[in-house]
Amino acid sequence: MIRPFGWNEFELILFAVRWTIVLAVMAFVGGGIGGLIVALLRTSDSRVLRVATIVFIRVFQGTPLLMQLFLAYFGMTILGFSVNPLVAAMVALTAHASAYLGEIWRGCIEAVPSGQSEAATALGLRYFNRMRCVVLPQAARIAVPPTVGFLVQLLKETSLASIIGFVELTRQAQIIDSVTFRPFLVFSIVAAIYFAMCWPLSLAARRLERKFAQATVR
Amino acid sequence: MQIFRYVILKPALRTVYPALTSQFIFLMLTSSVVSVISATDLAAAGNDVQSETFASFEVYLVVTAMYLVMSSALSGFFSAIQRMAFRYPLSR
Repeated sequence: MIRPFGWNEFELILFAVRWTIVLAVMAFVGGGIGGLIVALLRTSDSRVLRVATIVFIRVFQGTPLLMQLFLAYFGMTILGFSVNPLVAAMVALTAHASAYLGEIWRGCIEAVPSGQSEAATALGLRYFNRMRCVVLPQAARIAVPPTVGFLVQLLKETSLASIIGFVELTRQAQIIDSVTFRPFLVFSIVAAIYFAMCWPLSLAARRLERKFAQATVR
Repeated sequence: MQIFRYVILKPALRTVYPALTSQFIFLMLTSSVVSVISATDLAAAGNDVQSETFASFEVYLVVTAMYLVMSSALSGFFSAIQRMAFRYPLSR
């Protein structure tokens, strides 16, 4: 029997948004920590660490997120963990976000004039304090607009988690579609929901970009 | 016409070229998503092989390696073009 598309179906789709947001937030937090580590290693003085992070970034920026999700999902069973789509999606999205955020933040760290860290060294600051008190606060100001821009991309990319059977917004829409047979209606609504989440974020990114462009004019 | 070609177009291209190429590679990687609506691309072919052999991890590892090779080859190709077309000192 074909179910009509009513308020209940709409509510089911709408409430699946929470898993999309959970995925995005988890990937952003994990990717933020991983990305900071990647960015710091990528700009470190040790050649081995630099090359290792370049390889990491190359691999995760050079392969589709779809494949990373599959590998995380099927790789877990091979490593002997039970199959859990949420964990697999989180692992893949975190690695993906680490690679991208690491590369974005590396650019921001390198954009801080080298005189700053040289002056900090001259004042007797070691690596940790030099980064924490001098370089990173300045890099963070440059980093905010591109980071928010990446968050928009990440939010949309969580829709790929539907492919390994994790029930977030897109997967819930597929399920509703398979009982109501109204694909165009269902996916239009889903697209509108994604738009409603991403549009304010991109507006914020643009505003921040203007604000920080004014702040960094010398 | 010459003003546009030598003075405007070439520096403009030089500026956008790196961003343009990385966008192209990103687009190539994102194209794997079309397998979801069952268009036959590399990822969909991987799905088919996987459903016959049930060796999911191995199949997707190979497909991922293929994508990695493609994106590395493309980025090498693009930077070779960049070195030829946009090198200093300027040639015509």
